[in-house]
Amino acid sequence: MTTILGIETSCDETAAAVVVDGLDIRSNVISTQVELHARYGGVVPEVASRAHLESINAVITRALDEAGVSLGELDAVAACHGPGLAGALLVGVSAGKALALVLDVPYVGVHHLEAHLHAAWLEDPSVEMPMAVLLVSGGHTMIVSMEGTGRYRILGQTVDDAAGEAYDKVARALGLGYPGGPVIDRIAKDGDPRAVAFPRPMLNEGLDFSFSGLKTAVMLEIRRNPDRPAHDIAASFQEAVVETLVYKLEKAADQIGARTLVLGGGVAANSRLRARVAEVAEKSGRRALLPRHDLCTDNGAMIAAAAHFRLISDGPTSLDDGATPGLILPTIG
Amino acid sequence: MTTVLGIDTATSHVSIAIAVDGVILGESSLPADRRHAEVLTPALTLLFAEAGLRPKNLDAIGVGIGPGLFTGLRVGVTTAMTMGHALGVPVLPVSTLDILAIPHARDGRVVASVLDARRKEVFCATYRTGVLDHGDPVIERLTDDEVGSAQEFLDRLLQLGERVLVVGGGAGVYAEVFAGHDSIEVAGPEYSIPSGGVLVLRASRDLENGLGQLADSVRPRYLRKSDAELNWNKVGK
Ligand SMILES: Nc1ncnc2c1ncn2[C@@H]1O[C@H](COP(=O)(O)OP(=O)(O)OP(=O)(O)O)[C@@H](O)[C@H]1O
Ligand SMILES: [Mg+2]
Repeated sequence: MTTILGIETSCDETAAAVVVDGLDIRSNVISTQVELHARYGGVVPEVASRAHLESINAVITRALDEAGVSLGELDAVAACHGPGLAGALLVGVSAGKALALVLDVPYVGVHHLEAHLHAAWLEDPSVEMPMAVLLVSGGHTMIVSMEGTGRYRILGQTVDDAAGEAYDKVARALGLGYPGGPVIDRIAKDGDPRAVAFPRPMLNEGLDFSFSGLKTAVMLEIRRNPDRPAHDIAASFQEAVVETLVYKLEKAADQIGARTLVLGGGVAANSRLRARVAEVAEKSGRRALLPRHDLCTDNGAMIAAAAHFRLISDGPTSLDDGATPGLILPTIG
Repeated sequence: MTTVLGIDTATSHVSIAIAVDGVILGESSLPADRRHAEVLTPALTLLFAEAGLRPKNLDAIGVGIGPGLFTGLRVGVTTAMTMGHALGVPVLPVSTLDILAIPHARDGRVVASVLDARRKEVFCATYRTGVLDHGDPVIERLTDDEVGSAQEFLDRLLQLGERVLVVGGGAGVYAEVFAGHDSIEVAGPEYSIPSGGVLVLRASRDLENGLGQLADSVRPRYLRKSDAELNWNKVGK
């Protein structure tokens, strides 16, 4: 039995979790800074870094308490070491390495996206490989073929804005505040998705995405028709995003012969996206793996889970490891 | 037996030391540039190994809380907080400007401790120094730790009308500002790096004086708000 503490501080969530054998979540504590950043309309790196420092030890302690695990029972400590905000990452990495040093256990530096990819596994370890994973968050939009730990192929990704970024910018233009995803998701339920025919950029051009043109089209529409209800714009915008995402996810699954469609990242919390992925999976006789909300957004459980499998395949990370804001996902082929 | 570890990452260097009952058993200062996290943990492993000690032997941890450049500073403070929290031992916060000034306690002049704060500004503090009748040095703060333009700080030093020794990395960065005044001497570059040994002895003494804090309550001394907060305040919301 391997008990791992996972620490995540790459952006605006201070998170820690205890996971046993890479599958059994004993605790998953997330302290969000959303309210701290709301008035700036986005995550402010220095504000985030300061807040991480102030809450990191309390969050770790709560994760251990809720798991009923003592420090001495940990077999390894893992932290997200990139990609993300340098100052923010360094708080989690410093705390993780300090604990590993004190406890004399292995340290594991975990790639943030590799962790998101493992979140689905936490939900169902028996899932069939390869899986077609759609990672959609504030900073990333990509489709990955996952064949196991460390075996990833990026099949397509955004050439400009991430989907979550588009949600946030559209919400700001509509005066809906930050973060935009949850609000748009909510008000779109009362809107007409066919009210405005927004473009579906790059729909027939491979598996890459582009959301900046769509965002601009929404801004133009808001200016041109200021009286159009926000919920109609939100619903129409969301329909364009979701249709594009789901269309390409299915295409990717066809291409690699995947029997499972998986969602990950903050935008995976989107109710319309979840519903549509479930629908198309059902139609094509595939499985849809939709991790629960607190495993989609940034969390420590996914870090601990990925660390478990990395520890088996690669062993501990050297203590001279730091944080790498632009860390690339290691892929095959 | 009281074992204390010292960590400072507020400057371009990582400075660490370990002391038992006020005797330094090991000490190192390593250039870190922007790689404080990469440098610090292996250096600590080596320090413990060479001293024949383990983290669980620690009774307290002294940490340089800056002021200094934020990202590097947080590496040392987070490490000290987390180690202290996990071990259940107190942390002693020490101003990095103090660490730079203390070696000059016997100097007798006013000592000005200066670190580069970028944007033509410095982090600074001034101290009165001297030797008491029975031979012990004294060093007393004249100011809090502050941030401001190097030129303004110099003007204030000149207004003191006393002889001043300027120490710390900021002295070299702003050498042109501090040069050319009879009452002001700039110490050599060997005095620009905080000493882990100075830190750990100061922390050991603070511990004896009951100044230990709950590890999780220690905070870096930023002295500056983040840019976003400053801009926000300017807009006046
Ligand atoms: N229900 C929702 N519908 C759409 N978007 C959502 C929803 N909930 C959250 N989001 C979006 O998810 C994003 C945040 O997700 P997450 O925290 O995973 O991203 P991140 O960590 O900032 O980026 P990355 O993981 O790429 O570094 C935000 O852009 C937010 O608007
Ligand atoms: Mg994320």
